[in-house]
Parts: sequence; C-alpha cells; structure tokens
Amino acid sequence: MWLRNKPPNCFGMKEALIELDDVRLTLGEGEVRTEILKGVSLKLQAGESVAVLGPSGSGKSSLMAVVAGLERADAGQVRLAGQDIGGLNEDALARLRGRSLGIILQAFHLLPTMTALENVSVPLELAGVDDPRGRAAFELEQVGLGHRLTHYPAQLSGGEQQRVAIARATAPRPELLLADEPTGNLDSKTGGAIIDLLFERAGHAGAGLLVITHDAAVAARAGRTVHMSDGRLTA
Amino acid sequence: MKLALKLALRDLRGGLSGLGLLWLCLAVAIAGLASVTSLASSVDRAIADNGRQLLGGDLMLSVAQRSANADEQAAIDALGRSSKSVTTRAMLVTADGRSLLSELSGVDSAWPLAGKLDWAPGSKRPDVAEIAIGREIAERLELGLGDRLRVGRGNYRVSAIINKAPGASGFALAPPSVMNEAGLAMSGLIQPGSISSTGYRIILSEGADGESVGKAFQRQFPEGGWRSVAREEAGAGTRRFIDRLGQMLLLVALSALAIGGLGMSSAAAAFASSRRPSIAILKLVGATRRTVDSMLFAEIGLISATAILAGIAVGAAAPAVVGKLAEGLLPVTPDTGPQWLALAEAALFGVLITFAASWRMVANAGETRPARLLRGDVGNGEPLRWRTFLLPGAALTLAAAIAIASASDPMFAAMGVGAIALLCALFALIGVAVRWTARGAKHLGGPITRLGIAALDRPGAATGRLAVSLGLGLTLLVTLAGTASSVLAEIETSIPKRAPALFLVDIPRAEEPRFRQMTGQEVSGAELRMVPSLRGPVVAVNGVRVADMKDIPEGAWILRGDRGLTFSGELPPANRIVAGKWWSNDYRGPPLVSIDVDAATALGLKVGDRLTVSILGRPIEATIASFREIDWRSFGFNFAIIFAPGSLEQAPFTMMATIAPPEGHSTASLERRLTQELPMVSAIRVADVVAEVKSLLESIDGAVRVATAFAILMGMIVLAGSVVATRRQRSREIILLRLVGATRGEVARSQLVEFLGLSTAVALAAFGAGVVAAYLVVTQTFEFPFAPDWRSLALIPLGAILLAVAAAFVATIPALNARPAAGLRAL
Repeated sequence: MWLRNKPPNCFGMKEALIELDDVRLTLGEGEVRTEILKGVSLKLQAGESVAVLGPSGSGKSSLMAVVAGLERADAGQVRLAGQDIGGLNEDALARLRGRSLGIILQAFHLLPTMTALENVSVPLELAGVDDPRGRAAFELEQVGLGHRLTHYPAQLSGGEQQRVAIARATAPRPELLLADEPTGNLDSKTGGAIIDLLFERAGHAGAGLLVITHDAAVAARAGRTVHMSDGRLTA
Repeated sequence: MKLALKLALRDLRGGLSGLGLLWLCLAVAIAGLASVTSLASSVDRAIADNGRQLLGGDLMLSVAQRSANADEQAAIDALGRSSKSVTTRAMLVTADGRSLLSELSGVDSAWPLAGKLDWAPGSKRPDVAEIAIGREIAERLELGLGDRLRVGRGNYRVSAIINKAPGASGFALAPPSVMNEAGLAMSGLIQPGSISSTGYRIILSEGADGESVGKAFQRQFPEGGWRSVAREEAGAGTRRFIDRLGQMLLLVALSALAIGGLGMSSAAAAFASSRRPSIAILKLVGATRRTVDSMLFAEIGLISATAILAGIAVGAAAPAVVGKLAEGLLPVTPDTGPQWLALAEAALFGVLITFAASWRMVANAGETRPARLLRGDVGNGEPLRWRTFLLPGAALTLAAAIAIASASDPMFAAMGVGAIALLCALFALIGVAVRWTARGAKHLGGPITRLGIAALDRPGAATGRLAVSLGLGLTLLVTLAGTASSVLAEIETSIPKRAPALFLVDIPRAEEPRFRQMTGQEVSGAELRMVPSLRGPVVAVNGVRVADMKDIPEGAWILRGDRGLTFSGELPPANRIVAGKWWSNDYRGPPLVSIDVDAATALGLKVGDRLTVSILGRPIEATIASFREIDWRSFGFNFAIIFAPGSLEQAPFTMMATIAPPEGHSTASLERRLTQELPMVSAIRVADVVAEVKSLLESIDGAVRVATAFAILMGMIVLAGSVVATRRQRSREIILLRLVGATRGEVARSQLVEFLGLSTAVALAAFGAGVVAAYLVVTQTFEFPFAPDWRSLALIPLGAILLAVAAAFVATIPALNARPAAGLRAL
C-alpha cells in the first residue's frame, strides 16, 4: 500500500549513485585549520555496498559528511546519481537527504522527546508521505521492534536504539544508505546483529550502502572495501 | 505549519529547558503591566460612567462670591431642572471647643439633583438648625447623630453622617458638610466679599451636550466669570491624579518588562542551546530551515501565549482587587469589568517583547548545521550575524512607540522610555567594564578566586544582561527613595519652620483692628501679615474671551477657574520683578496688574498686554505692568495676580492673614477665641495641611515603591533564572573542580566571587545613577534642596547585593550538590 506513495527522488538508475572526483575538504579556522580530505575519488553503483575502512582521524566520517551534503567540499565534485550537489542550498540538501538518503550514525541520534514510532515517522512526515505512522510501524516491525512502538529512546537499549535509527533511515525507501560506525557504541554481539540487519534492510530495499568503519569484520560484509588513510583513499 | 506544531508539541515533552524562565518573566511582567494599565483604565471608565453622580448633575455652572442675577437665573432655568448650592470654608466647633475646617455647602430642596446619597443609618436631611457632616468629620471630632456643633454664628444639631454624596468628587483638604440654605444663612458666614462659590447643577434634556451648553452659557454672560463643568469632565482632578500616578507606575512596569525581556533573552538562549541536537537530527532526516524555525517559534509561541494569558488574567482581576483595597481612597469604585483595550495593549507588548527577546536565539539555533552531530559540538551556537539584531530592534522600537503614543502624556512617557533606554545602555557598558576587568584580573588570587573572576568573562556569560536587569530596578529604587526622602524631609521639617503656623481667611474688613488686637494678646510677638482677599476668574486676555479659546496652554492654569486676587502697594516678600516695573505705593491711575512670570510665559504675554478679571460679575480690565518670579516655597501669601491700589478697594472683600508665632508658642488660645468672637473666620493649620500632603505623598510613594520592588524582584528572577539557564556549564565546571579535589565550600567560594563581583559593581553604579537622577528630580522638578536620608539610601545597594548573592546561590545549590560520578556520566 505504502509503496504506491513512495516519494519522488532525484536519482536515476543509469548513473553511479555516488561519484566523488578529487574531493578536498578543509575544516577549522586559523591555526587549527586542517585539511581532512586530500583529493578523494570514489564511485558507488546502485545496489552496491562499499565499506570505507580506516583508523580514527583518517577522514572517514568527513567523507560520509560530504556525501550526505552535511559538509561542503572545498574542491572537487560530489555527484549523487549524476547530480552535482555542490550547487544545492541547505534546504535542498535537507530535502535530498529526506527523500533519497538514509543516514545511520554511531551515537544513534534519535529525538529524545519522541517515541520510536514518532522518530521513524518524522522523515516520512517531512516528506509529506501518506500514513506516515502506518509506514513507520511497518518499518519498526521489520527491524523487530513492533512491540516497542511507544517507547522513548531512553527506554530502549543501545541495540534497540540503533534498530530504530535503521528503521528511520530505511522508512522513506532511499536509494542510498550511509552508515557511520553503526556498531561503534554497541557490544560485539549486538553490533553483529545490527550489521546483519543493516545489510538485510539495504538488500531488501535495493539501496546502495556506504559503511564507514574501523572494524575489518564489518568491512568484510560489504561487496567492496576501500581503505582510508590520512585523508586519502586506497583500494 | 501543522507539522511544525506537531513537532513542537512532541519536542515540548522533553521539558521546557529555559522556557520555564521565559514563562515566569513574561507572565510576571505582563501581570504588572496589565494591572497598571487596567487599573488606570478602570478608574477612568468609572469616572466617565459616573459623571452624573460625581458632578451631581449633567452640568454645573458656578460663580465666585455671588449668586446668579435675574437674567442668569432665567437662562439656567431654561436649561433644565437645577439645584443651587453655596459652598464656603467654615470652622466646625464642638461644644467642648474642638474645631475642624470643613468645606460647607448650603443646598436647596432639590439637592441632590442626581445620584444617590450614601449616609449612615438614622440620618435625615438637615433642617434649618441642622447639619449633615462627612464621615471624616464625625470620626475626627468624635461626633454622632444628635450631637451639636457651632458654625459661624449658628448652632446646629448633627442630623446626618454622609459616607458619600453626589458632587463630592476629587481630593479636598477639608472634609465636606451640608446644610440647607436657611441654615447657611443662619451661620452668617456668607457676607459680601467672603470666599464662597455658588454652583448650579442642572439636568439637561436628553441628548444635550453639557460641554457645549456650558460654553454657550459662558458666551451669553461673558463678563459674569462663570465656570462650567460638564459631567464628562467630572472628576477631572481625580483623573489627573490617577493619570500621573498611573504614568509613574507604567514606567516602573515598563522597566520591569525590559528587565523581564532580558531574562527572557537568557531563557531563549538556554532553550535554543538545548534544542540544537534535535534541530541537527531533524535536518539530518530532511527538515528544512523553515520547518525547524516554525517548530521553534511554535514552542515559544505556545509558552508565551499561556504566559501572556496568565499575565492579563492577573491584570483583569487587578481593578476589583485594588478597588477593594483602596476603598474609600478613591471617589469612585473602579469598573471591575475587563478593560479590553488595556489588556490587549499589554498582550501586544508581551508579543513584541517575546519576539525581541527570542528572535536572535531562535534564528541562531535554526542555523545549526547537522554536520555538528558528527563532531560532537552540536551544543554550541553558530556565530551571530548582525542582521539578526534588525527585527528585534524593530520590535522594541514599535513597543516604545506604542508606549509613548498610548500614554496620556506622551512627552512624559517619551522621557521615561528614553531614560529606561539610557539606563539599559549604561548598565550594558557596566557589564562590558566588568568583563574587561575580569579579563585583566583573572590571574589574581588562588585557583578558586581565579575561577570566580574568569566566570564573569566566560564565553556565553550573561554578565551584560545581568548588569542591566539588576541595575535598572535598583536605579529606580534609589531614585525613588532619594527623591521621596528629600521631599518628605522638606515637607516635614523645613516647611513648618519657614511657613506660618496659621492661615486665616474671611476676616471681615471691619474686624481687622479687633483681629490684630486679639492676635497681639493671645500670641505675643507673633509675626502677623494681612492682605485683602478677593476671588474671580480671568475672563479675557487681550480682549479675547477665555470662553472662546479653543485650547488653553498646559502652564496657563491662571485661566482655569477662580483665582485668589489681592491688591497691594508694596511688592510682597519672596516676589521679584523680572520684567516691567512695580507701581508706586500710592498709585491711583488706571488699573494695573502684575502676574506670575511662568503663567505669563505659558500664555505668551508681554508687559503692556491686557487681562480682564471678573469680580462679582463685574469685568475689570487691567494692563500688565510687570511679571514676578514667585518663590512658592516661602509659604506666605503668593498671589499669581496682584492688582495695583485703586482698582479693587470698592469691591466687597475680606482679609486674609498669616500668623507665625515665636518658636515654642502655640496658636491654640487664639484659635479658641476666634471661634467664640469671630466665628466667620476660618483657620487653616499648616500642620494639618502638611500632614495631609505628607500622607498623600506617602501613599503615592508606597504605591510606586511596591511597583519598584516588583521590578527588583523581576531582576532577581532574571538573575536566578540566568544561573539556572547556565546550569549545564556550571555543573560541568563544578564537577571537574570537585574531581580534582575542590570541596563544596571552595566551589561555593568561587561562585561567591562571581556573584559578589557582579552585584557589587552593578549596585555601586546603580547607587550613583539613582542619586544623580534623584538630585535632578528634587532640585529641578520640585525645586527643593537635595537632602536624602543617606543611611537608608545606602542600605538599598547593600540589601540588593545580599539579595542577589542569595538568589544566585539558591539557584546554584543543585549544581553544588551534584555527585561527581553522576555528573561525569551526564557530561
């Protein structure tokens, strides 16, 4: 039922989902100004899963921020499904994220004042989708939290919170999922289950997946792994 | 918008995070403002609605020292049903010789023409040898129904005690009493030249406009010296008093609103800071800036709407509550219905101040970038842009413009708003100075002291806002206390020393030698001054009739009503000629007059212009020979209009006298003898007048002090609220300090250094600013010497420092008591 109401997106299927071309990023001001990304190029095709593996401080999360339109590259091109996002303003980027990207972060970042159901329905409500609560409930059932709909984040375990975050990310049926250290705040058993769920949901939705991790075991689950070191990617 | 509201309601589930302080500041400030404006409006409306009761008719025509002649009486009769009363001042003397000055009216059988008499049970309308006395007279002379009183040459039985009578509006120094016409005649008080006024209250035909009917009557008898008051103008004195008091209270309420606005600004900053993570998450999942801004404004809107509603609910109840408390002090009971316009105005101020206080913070929070979630610094704000000041500035300007435009005296309101703005700027500068000093001194002392000093200049410190919110209320209180103590000291001590002990009026000319002799016998060595006394209105200026003047200038009070007149060959003491020439002692030429320079300036007069005064219905045109500067503080006979000898001697007049006994001598025996031998003479004791004025001033002072205490309370709320708003940062510092070994006492000391430093700097500055302001008010407006009660004045900043430190400490207690382990987990 809800598939008929799937929001329009800007992604075509012929282009690479992610296309980074010599992307550079510098953050900070004055003396603390640091070059984080030093000419990064990367392609990710529709339905493909790629893991970015590297130590802390190598620039992995910044790479994801650039792909998600959270940070603007100082140089180079960032194209999502062939569209250069460098020219989009903040609101256009927010709409793009809402409709076509699902983002999962290490610290879950759920809205503390909203129930699990409301957290998942927020992106659907923002996108103006019909029956956002019905779809959110369906999505939570898919991640095994059908019995926790009315619980607030503080009433959920870390693993459950990350499941809610996955449901929130996949609910708008995005073409691309971005996950930044999704198991970083979880014990290994729970982390394993979350990774299973993440790949299962991405595969079910047919979405591309970019996973940022420092865990080789997580990276091994992806179709392709790229290594990041000192702001540069190596195959 | 629907989605934004939905998100806002969900967001509010997490608590108010600063919006609680916003609610409190706004509700308290609006409650104060709405109460003041509502109360003024309700008294105004009550006076307007009860005009007929207050005046005792639709129109009152009055004339000094005479009754209407046949033509005038015919014209009055043609206007409608009327009632005549003759009013004079008289000494009421009890059987055992106690006496009291009263405003005595002799009324006809039609009295009261309109409105109801409210009198004590058992009272009856006075017959020939009877008198109805006001409740105050009954209480002060301990009289009851049936007791006897002597008035002039007559003896009377108290037949009624009046609680409230129609026509008795406004504040009078002498309480009222009433007789019938024959009773008044029996007293022998009304003689040619004695100070009296005859009023004709008239019921006009339906739809007639009292003001224009009165003007037409004045034009019909231009030389008669008639004064006209329509029912719409009734209670004008009360209105003016309430207006002035209301304006002072309004300024204090606006100051409290400004202080509250600063607290709201702190609250909005805390709120914005707490919402940044949620904003970042919402933007992460697709929310646009517009959605986020709408959500934030919906939250602030919901909270402020309930605060404004609570505030105006208090304001709506104020007239009924204050009406009950001030029962008897006001001539009318305030209208207890809601004063919609006043309440709407207060609500509008609430909306504008909320907008001004929160816009920048919300705009700043709306700019939160979701990328900050990845870096973990989402709690910090984006840099403020200068253009975020434009809209709040416009809202404040609009609020100030409304305050000025809606005030009954826009000039006074503009000066008040300007003074508030100036004080805000001054204390903002003090805040900057405190920060600079803290920056320079943060290496002094041990770690605990250093931390306290550094806290005054920490990023995001509300030092400037706190300096303004504490300083504004405190300056107001010091100004008020300094002014009140100076003025009261002058009235209590200096005036009685300078002023004569007794003013005596209505001394028959023929009795002057006897009066002098009695004074010499009873108060030997007393300084006695006697001058002729007449009354009459100014009816024309340079041939232009006052009745035809459209607008009478503000300072031209000599054109309003009857004026006391005299004639003299010598320039009176405490008078100085500033233009023209004083006439010779034996002048006998065409009528000349000398007038008060301030009134002349207000009317734009120059020496050589002409003034026409009506005396007993006879116009006397005189040329202005000079202007005088009068030292009103001399408390002698100070006449604004003095005629040269030769013009008024033929008119019937009485004498006035002042008696200043040598120090330590009483005038009591003279007063007793006067009531026996010259009963038509009225004695006004300066001590009584001083006591009345003092009591009135103390009431005003009390009302304004309560309001100012309210402004200070607001400052304390803002201070405590500001500490609560920075609780997260404080907790972090306190926990870290305790982690490295600081005891709670040491941590408390660092807080003490911070609060003591700020409140001392602000209290000293407020004391200085308040003393300067009080000095200006006392010396320039009251023209009194500046002699405040320094000891009690100095207690104000000391008390404020103690109060501020205590309020801040109470707000810090939760952070001081937090256990480091629990705190660290929350960091």
